[in-house]
Amino acid sequence: MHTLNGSLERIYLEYRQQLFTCALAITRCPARAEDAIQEAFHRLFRLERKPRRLKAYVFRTVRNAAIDQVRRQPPPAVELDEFIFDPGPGPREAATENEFKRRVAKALVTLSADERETIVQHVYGGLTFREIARIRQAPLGTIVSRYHRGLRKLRTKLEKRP
Amino acid sequence: MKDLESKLKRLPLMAPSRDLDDRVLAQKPKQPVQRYREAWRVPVWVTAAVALLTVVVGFVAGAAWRSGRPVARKEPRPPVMVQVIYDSPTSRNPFDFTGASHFFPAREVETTTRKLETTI
Repeated sequence: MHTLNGSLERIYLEYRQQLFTCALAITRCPARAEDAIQEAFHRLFRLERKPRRLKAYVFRTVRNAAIDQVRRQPPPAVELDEFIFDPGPGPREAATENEFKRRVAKALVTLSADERETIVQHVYGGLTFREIARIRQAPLGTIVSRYHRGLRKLRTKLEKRP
Repeated sequence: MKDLESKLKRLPLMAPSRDLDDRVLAQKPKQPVQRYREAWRVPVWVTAAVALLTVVVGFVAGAAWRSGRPVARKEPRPPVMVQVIYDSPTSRNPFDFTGASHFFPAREVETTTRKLETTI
């Protein structure tokens, strides 16, 4: 049987990338996304008892910490081109992919915060709609409709010539 | 939608810095005893159930132990004095208890009874 801290450590090591991406979708700043994760685990390691759905609880705590970061200091006015994607230059043959990445990043930041966060949580966070609903404390139907609406908007924007 | 999803999933994500692991895991408390106690905190109902079970088992075991052992207490023999009043030589009245014909000390006494023949 895992202790609470052992389970938290395991979840962190397994979902580190997903937690970071989801936090980054809110803070839009890598350093502040990391601060949010650190702050969240500072709280999590001091929990008195194990929550029922620990993974969802961890994601929710990181999300809340990221929102706190944004409240303390709003995201930068200049949007990052890469947003949540790897800004590395990449090989020359990946130029098309880099272009697509930039266009996706630009399209993502034009979506509403709810739609963007839902897409990031589902596609990059690897969370199911039910888990997202628990994390966001919203009805499942709302989450699913936000996701599909956001994805439709994203497709429309990507189909337009830059 | 599925093709767009799969295209999105293929995009490389920005990775967290290498020192994030150290920053996060360094916050894990270093008091294993305290955390162990927290992990093994016993609910109140379990404590109450164990206490109740202990009491019941105690009573049952005590009763069984007592019933299996014979009582070894031996009462001291009380002094017995048998006063024979029938056929008292001093009185012919069988209901006269003032005088005893014989006294016997405390020991086994053999007695025989005889039916009175009464004549009215």
